[in-house]
Amino acid sequence: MIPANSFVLTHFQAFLFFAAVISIAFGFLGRRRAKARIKYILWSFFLFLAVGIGIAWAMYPFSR
Amino acid sequence: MPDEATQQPQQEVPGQPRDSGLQRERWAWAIGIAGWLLPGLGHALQRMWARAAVVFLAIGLLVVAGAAMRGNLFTSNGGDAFDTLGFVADLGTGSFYMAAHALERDGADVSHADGDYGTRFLAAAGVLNLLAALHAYEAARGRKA
Repeated sequence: MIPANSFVLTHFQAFLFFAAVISIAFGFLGRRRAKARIKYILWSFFLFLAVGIGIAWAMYPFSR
Repeated sequence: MPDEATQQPQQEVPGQPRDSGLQRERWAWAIGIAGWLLPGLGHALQRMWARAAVVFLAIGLLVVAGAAMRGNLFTSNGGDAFDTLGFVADLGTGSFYMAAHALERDGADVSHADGDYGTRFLAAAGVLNLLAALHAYEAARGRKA
Protein backbone atom coordinates (compact mmCIF):
# COMPACT_ATOMS: atom_id res chain seq x y z
CA MET A 1 0.00 0.00 0.00
CA ILE A 2 1.23 3.45 -0.87
CA PRO A 3 -0.14 6.40 1.08
CA ALA A 4 -1.88 9.03 -1.02
CA ASN A 5 0.26 11.88 -2.35
CA SER A 6 3.44 10.23 -1.08
CA PHE A 7 5.26 10.67 -4.36
CA VAL A 8 5.11 14.20 -5.72
CA LEU A 9 7.29 15.27 -8.64
CA THR A 10 7.59 18.57 -10.43
CA HIS A 11 6.89 18.64 -14.15
CA PHE A 12 10.60 18.62 -14.96
CA GLN A 13 11.39 15.82 -12.49
CA ALA A 14 8.64 13.65 -13.99
CA PHE A 15 10.02 14.43 -17.44
CA LEU A 16 13.57 13.44 -16.42
CA PHE A 17 12.39 10.30 -14.64
CA PHE A 18 10.39 9.11 -17.63
CA ALA A 19 13.20 9.88 -20.11
CA ALA A 20 15.81 8.11 -17.97
CA VAL A 21 13.79 4.93 -17.35
CA ILE A 22 12.67 4.54 -20.96
CA SER A 23 16.15 5.31 -22.34
CA ILE A 24 17.78 2.67 -20.13
CA ALA A 25 15.18 0.06 -21.13
CA PHE A 26 15.60 0.91 -24.83
CA GLY A 27 19.39 0.74 -24.52
CA PHE A 28 19.37 -2.73 -22.96
CA LEU A 29 16.75 -4.11 -25.35
CA GLY A 30 18.23 -2.57 -28.47
CA ARG A 31 21.96 -3.19 -28.06
CA ARG A 32 24.10 -6.10 -26.87
CA ARG A 33 27.51 -4.65 -26.05
CA ALA A 34 28.06 -2.46 -23.01
CA LYS A 35 29.67 0.40 -24.91
CA ALA A 36 26.91 0.43 -27.54
CA ARG A 37 24.29 0.34 -24.80
CA ILE A 38 25.78 3.36 -23.03
CA LYS A 39 25.95 5.33 -26.28
CA TYR A 40 22.37 4.40 -27.13
CA ILE A 41 21.10 5.31 -23.64
CA LEU A 42 22.81 8.70 -23.66
CA TRP A 43 21.67 9.50 -27.18
CA SER A 44 18.09 8.42 -26.49
CA PHE A 45 18.02 10.42 -23.24
CA PHE A 46 19.36 13.50 -25.02
CA LEU A 47 16.73 13.15 -27.77
CA PHE A 48 13.93 12.80 -25.21
CA LEU A 49 15.09 16.04 -23.56
CA ALA A 50 15.63 17.88 -26.84
CA VAL A 51 12.25 16.92 -28.28
CA GLY A 52 10.39 17.57 -25.01
CA ILE A 53 11.95 20.97 -24.43
CA GLY A 54 11.60 21.80 -28.12
CA ILE A 55 7.86 21.06 -28.06
CA ALA A 56 7.51 23.06 -24.84
CA TRP A 57 9.21 26.06 -26.46
CA ALA A 58 7.04 25.72 -29.57
CA MET A 59 3.90 25.70 -27.42
CA TYR A 60 4.98 28.64 -25.26
CA PRO A 61 3.38 31.42 -27.43
CA PHE A 62 0.00 29.67 -27.19
CA SER A 63 0.14 28.92 -23.47
CA ARG A 64 -1.29 32.25 -22.31
CA MET B 1 21.14 -30.16 -62.30
CA PRO B 2 21.19 -30.21 -58.48
CA ASP B 3 21.48 -33.54 -56.77
CA GLU B 4 18.85 -34.86 -54.34
CA ALA B 5 20.80 -33.96 -51.23
CA THR B 6 20.71 -30.24 -52.00
CA GLN B 7 17.02 -30.33 -52.86
CA GLN B 8 15.94 -31.61 -49.45
CA PRO B 9 15.35 -28.58 -47.25
CA GLN B 10 15.57 -30.39 -43.93
CA GLN B 11 17.70 -33.32 -42.94
CA GLU B 12 17.00 -35.32 -39.83
CA VAL B 13 19.56 -34.66 -37.16
CA PRO B 14 20.20 -37.43 -34.62
CA GLY B 15 18.82 -36.49 -31.20
CA GLN B 16 16.66 -33.70 -32.55
CA PRO B 17 12.94 -34.25 -33.15
CA ARG B 18 11.54 -33.78 -36.65
CA ASP B 19 9.15 -31.05 -35.62
CA SER B 20 11.80 -28.92 -33.88
CA GLY B 21 10.62 -25.88 -35.83
CA LEU B 22 7.13 -26.26 -34.40
CA GLN B 23 8.51 -26.84 -30.93
CA ARG B 24 10.68 -23.76 -31.22
CA GLU B 25 7.62 -21.72 -32.28
CA ARG B 26 5.66 -23.01 -29.28
CA TRP B 27 8.58 -22.26 -26.99
CA ALA B 28 8.79 -18.73 -28.43
CA TRP B 29 5.08 -18.15 -27.76
CA ALA B 30 5.50 -19.44 -24.20
CA ILE B 31 8.45 -17.06 -23.74
CA GLY B 32 6.42 -14.13 -25.07
CA ILE B 33 3.44 -14.87 -22.83
CA ALA B 34 5.69 -15.38 -19.80
CA GLY B 35 7.38 -12.06 -20.52
CA TRP B 36 4.01 -10.35 -20.69
CA LEU B 37 2.70 -11.94 -17.47
CA LEU B 38 5.80 -11.13 -15.42
CA PRO B 39 8.02 -8.37 -16.86
CA GLY B 40 11.53 -9.71 -17.52
CA LEU B 41 10.62 -13.39 -17.22
CA GLY B 42 10.78 -13.94 -20.98
CA HIS B 43 14.39 -12.79 -21.02
CA ALA B 44 15.26 -14.58 -17.77
CA LEU B 45 14.12 -17.91 -19.24
CA GLN B 46 16.63 -17.33 -22.04
CA ARG B 47 19.39 -16.44 -19.55
CA MET B 48 19.49 -12.81 -20.66
CA TRP B 49 19.92 -11.71 -17.07
CA ALA B 50 20.80 -8.04 -17.59
CA ARG B 51 17.85 -7.46 -19.91
CA ALA B 52 15.53 -9.34 -17.56
CA ALA B 53 16.63 -7.24 -14.59
CA VAL B 54 16.37 -3.95 -16.47
CA VAL B 55 12.92 -4.75 -17.90
CA PHE B 56 11.65 -5.83 -14.47
CA LEU B 57 13.05 -2.75 -12.72
CA ALA B 58 12.03 -0.25 -15.41
CA ILE B 59 8.44 -1.47 -15.56
CA GLY B 60 8.27 -1.91 -11.80
CA LEU B 61 9.52 1.65 -11.25
CA LEU B 62 7.01 3.10 -13.71
CA VAL B 63 4.13 1.14 -12.17
CA VAL B 64 5.05 2.04 -8.58
CA ALA B 65 5.57 5.69 -9.50
CA GLY B 66 2.31 5.77 -11.49
CA ALA B 67 0.36 4.21 -8.63
CA ALA B 68 2.01 6.47 -6.03
CA MET B 69 1.10 9.53 -8.11
CA ARG B 70 -2.50 8.25 -8.18
CA GLY B 71 -2.64 7.70 -11.91
CA ASN B 72 -5.77 6.31 -13.52
CA LEU B 73 -5.85 2.55 -14.07
CA PHE B 74 -8.35 1.92 -16.84
CA THR B 75 -10.84 -0.92 -16.58
CA SER B 76 -12.53 -3.06 -19.22
CA ASN B 77 -15.86 -1.24 -18.91
CA GLY B 78 -14.60 2.09 -20.22
CA GLY B 79 -16.96 4.57 -21.82
CA ASP B 80 -15.15 5.27 -25.09
CA ALA B 81 -12.36 4.15 -27.41
CA PHE B 82 -9.70 6.06 -25.46
CA ASP B 83 -10.65 4.21 -22.28
CA THR B 84 -10.37 0.92 -24.16
CA LEU B 85 -6.95 1.90 -25.52
CA GLY B 86 -5.87 2.91 -22.03
CA PHE B 87 -7.07 -0.44 -20.67
CA VAL B 88 -5.08 -2.33 -23.33
CA ALA B 89 -1.98 -0.27 -22.51
CA ASP B 90 -2.40 -0.80 -18.75
CA LEU B 91 -3.04 -4.50 -19.23
CA GLY B 92 0.32 -4.69 -21.01
CA THR B 93 2.01 -4.72 -17.60
CA GLY B 94 0.63 -8.25 -17.02
CA SER B 95 0.59 -9.18 -13.36
CA PHE B 96 1.75 -5.68 -12.42
CA TYR B 97 -1.73 -4.44 -13.38
CA MET B 98 -3.11 -6.20 -10.31
CA ALA B 99 -0.20 -4.96 -8.23
CA ALA B 100 -0.94 -1.39 -9.26
CA HIS B 101 -4.57 -1.85 -8.22
CA ALA B 102 -3.41 -3.13 -4.84
CA LEU B 103 -0.91 -0.28 -4.42
CA GLU B 104 -3.42 2.44 -5.25
CA ARG B 105 -5.24 2.29 -1.96
CA ASP B 106 -7.04 5.61 -2.36
CA GLY B 107 -7.89 5.26 -6.04
CA ALA B 108 -7.01 7.53 -8.93
CA ASP B 109 -6.95 11.31 -8.70
CA VAL B 110 -6.36 13.06 -12.01
CA SER B 111 -7.56 16.45 -10.79
CA HIS B 112 -3.91 17.54 -10.52
CA ALA B 113 -0.85 17.15 -12.73
CA ASP B 114 0.71 14.31 -10.70
CA GLY B 115 -2.29 12.06 -11.27
CA ASP B 116 -2.16 12.79 -14.97
CA TYR B 117 1.56 11.96 -15.10
CA GLY B 118 0.85 8.78 -13.14
CA THR B 119 -1.69 7.74 -15.77
CA ARG B 120 0.96 8.19 -18.49
CA PHE B 121 3.56 6.27 -16.46
CA LEU B 122 1.19 3.31 -16.05
CA ALA B 123 0.32 3.27 -19.76
CA ALA B 124 3.98 3.64 -20.78
CA ALA B 125 4.90 0.73 -18.48
CA GLY B 126 2.34 -1.47 -20.25
CA VAL B 127 3.48 -0.56 -23.74
CA LEU B 128 7.13 -1.00 -22.76
CA ASN B 129 6.37 -4.46 -21.37
CA LEU B 130 4.60 -5.44 -24.58
CA LEU B 131 7.69 -4.32 -26.49
CA ALA B 132 9.95 -6.33 -24.16
CA ALA B 133 7.73 -9.43 -24.49
CA LEU B 134 7.86 -9.11 -28.28
CA HIS B 135 11.66 -8.78 -28.09
CA ALA B 136 11.86 -11.94 -25.95
CA TYR B 137 9.60 -13.77 -28.41
CA GLU B 138 11.78 -12.75 -31.36
CA ALA B 139 14.93 -13.73 -29.49
CA ALA B 140 13.43 -17.16 -28.76
CA ARG B 141 12.75 -17.58 -32.47
CA GLY B 142 16.38 -16.72 -33.18
CA ARG B 143 15.68 -13.46 -34.94
CA LYS B 144 17.21 -11.16 -32.32
CA ALA B 145 19.85 -11.56 -29.68
